Amino acid sequence: MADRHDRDRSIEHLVRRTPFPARAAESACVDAEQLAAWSGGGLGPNEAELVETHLSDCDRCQAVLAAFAESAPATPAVAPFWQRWTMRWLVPATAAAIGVVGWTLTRGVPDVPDPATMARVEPAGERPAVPLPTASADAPAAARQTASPADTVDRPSAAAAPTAATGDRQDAPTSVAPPPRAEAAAAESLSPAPAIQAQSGERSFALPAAPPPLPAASAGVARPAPAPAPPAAAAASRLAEAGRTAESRDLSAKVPQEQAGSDPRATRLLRPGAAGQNNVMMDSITVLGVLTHARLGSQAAVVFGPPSSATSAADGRAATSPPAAAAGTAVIWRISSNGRVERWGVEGTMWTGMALPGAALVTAGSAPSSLVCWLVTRDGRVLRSVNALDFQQTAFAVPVALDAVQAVDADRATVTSTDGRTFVTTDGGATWQ
Amino acid sequence: MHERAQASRWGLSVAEFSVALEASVAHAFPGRAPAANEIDAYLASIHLADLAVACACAGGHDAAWDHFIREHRPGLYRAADAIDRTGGARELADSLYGDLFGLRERDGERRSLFRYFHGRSSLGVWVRAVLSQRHVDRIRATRRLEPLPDEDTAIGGAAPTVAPPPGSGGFAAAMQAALTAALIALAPRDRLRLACYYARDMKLAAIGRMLSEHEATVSRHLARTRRDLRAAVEQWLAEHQGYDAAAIAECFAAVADDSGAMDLGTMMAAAEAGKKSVADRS
Repeated sequence: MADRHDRDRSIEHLVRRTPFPARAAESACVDAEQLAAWSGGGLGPNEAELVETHLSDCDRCQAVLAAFAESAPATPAVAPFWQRWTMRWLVPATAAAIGVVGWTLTRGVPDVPDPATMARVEPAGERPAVPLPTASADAPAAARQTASPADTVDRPSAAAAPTAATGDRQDAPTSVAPPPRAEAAAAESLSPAPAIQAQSGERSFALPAAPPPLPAASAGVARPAPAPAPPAAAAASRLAEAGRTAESRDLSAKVPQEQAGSDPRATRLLRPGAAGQNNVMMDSITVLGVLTHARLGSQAAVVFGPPSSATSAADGRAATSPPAAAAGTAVIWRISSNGRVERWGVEGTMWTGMALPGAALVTAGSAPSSLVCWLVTRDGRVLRSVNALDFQQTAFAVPVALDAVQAVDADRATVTSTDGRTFVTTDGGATWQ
Repeated sequence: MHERAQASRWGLSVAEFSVALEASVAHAFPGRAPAANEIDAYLASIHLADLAVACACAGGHDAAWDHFIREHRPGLYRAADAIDRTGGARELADSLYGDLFGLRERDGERRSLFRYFHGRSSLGVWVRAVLSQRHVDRIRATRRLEPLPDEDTAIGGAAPTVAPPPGSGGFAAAMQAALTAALIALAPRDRLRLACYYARDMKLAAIGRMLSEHEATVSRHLARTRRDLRAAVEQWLAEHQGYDAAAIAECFAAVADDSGAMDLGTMMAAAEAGKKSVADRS
């Protein structure tokens, strides 16, 4: 190995001091417009290849290219996927979400707080300071009772629960007359009528005179105290809390008790092929699993497939090995870093390279069903397969680099170019708009 | 098209703009008549607004010139300063305006450089490319009496088949021949990347901008190309020279030991420049 490295260094040493051999360029020199269009991906595939070949051979054009590159404003060419603004938050979010799932699975008992418990652990000092006009005489006593230290100690999970109630409670000013919405929601779960009053804007907030009967575990006596939430779970909870809007806070408080602690966003992230996936999430597909559409960024490879494929692919192995559920009849597609397309599932045993018309660097794909797959290439071609075997080039003829495709079925698809334009077909690629 | 390009802002008539569009299509499909859908796709892809500005500037419309000067002159000067930090290219940039306006006349008609712009890139990028070409051509013109590398080293794709016999300088010469053959056999994109980095001293980020690759990807490809070159050199030495493993090892050792012809003045200058450029070329 060391010998190879030494030889590689020798080659580099030799290349550095050797006048670069230039072949006699067979075509005319690249003009300014060709150079400008080539650098921006505005040439058709054939012309771009000609320009590239000439640039590799012509000493003068290489010098022009160097000066042209030097004159460009200093902006990064292609940011790696983890540095794109849409991705900056996704990496820690994904790690946190995976941590939450892993911790929940290994722990066995889902730590789902219920609104009633959240109301019970609320410290008395954070209640509205002023007397509430419509509160019943028993309400303050009930509140003080539910805020006893014993309850707080018995249910530490509630304090770390990813709910709107906890966060709002810690941040809420104590002298504000209107109750926090989470309290209203909690009260709604106990007694719908007062909550409706609170949400309607009236300054009336009343806890029920007596809390409804709780299970023994909720009462904090029979159930052993659960372990504190791990940092990853707490981070995920905070993240989920931060990402939730005020509107969704209201909605989340109204969901059934068994769903109140789950983060629907995190669930979507980890559900392969789920509806609602879009290109914002595509670059993380190697981590998250198999999605319907995929776009090749800076990753080693991306995997995509129809929604019915690989229901358990969110194990982080998607880039290197096929999902376990992909074996059999499901069809999964993979675009490797060099733009090669491979298919898993028909043969059922290995990734099979697909023969595409022409030499194409595939940049994105979309598989709306098991038989249909759309691909787009860097040289501006759109390929379609309706049998998961053969790809045909569609009539798309705009000389522009393409980097995204979203297909609905065999006839309808939308492709996006690197300069942000979108082109739509509704007839299988025969015409584009 | 006329409306989409906002050509009326510059007082450009539909007929004038149609001529520009026809010229653009003819330039894009040389020697053949494109199909209607090809024309539609092409016209949908070009920079119509910039084409209208260029067309109006070529026609001498004042408003278009004002717009061009206001929008593109700062960028042009920045580009000139970036190309030549001594200010030499700034002079070129100024002279470019004369050609863009069309100070020269042919057959009584003003010949503006804008007629070479067909909207396939943005106007600003095109102007930068023109400036780069002029800068390089001026440098080459000043060095006309010096031997040019491409003329001296062009070998027309024919790899040397006979290398000197092994010896103190023979191994190095054999390596040189093998490397030349390997470089010629590279794929155009790999050759271009290698030439940009080693022959043109371009930074990884600049190469990446040109090739639409991230600089880390460029670095990875360069490393792969070096590995490919090493393998090709080893194979060439074995097949064309009949060298065994020990002789091939000697060849690589000769390259590692031989520092080549030394020009102290060049080395001193390179060392001064290298203090900065090595740090920059991350």
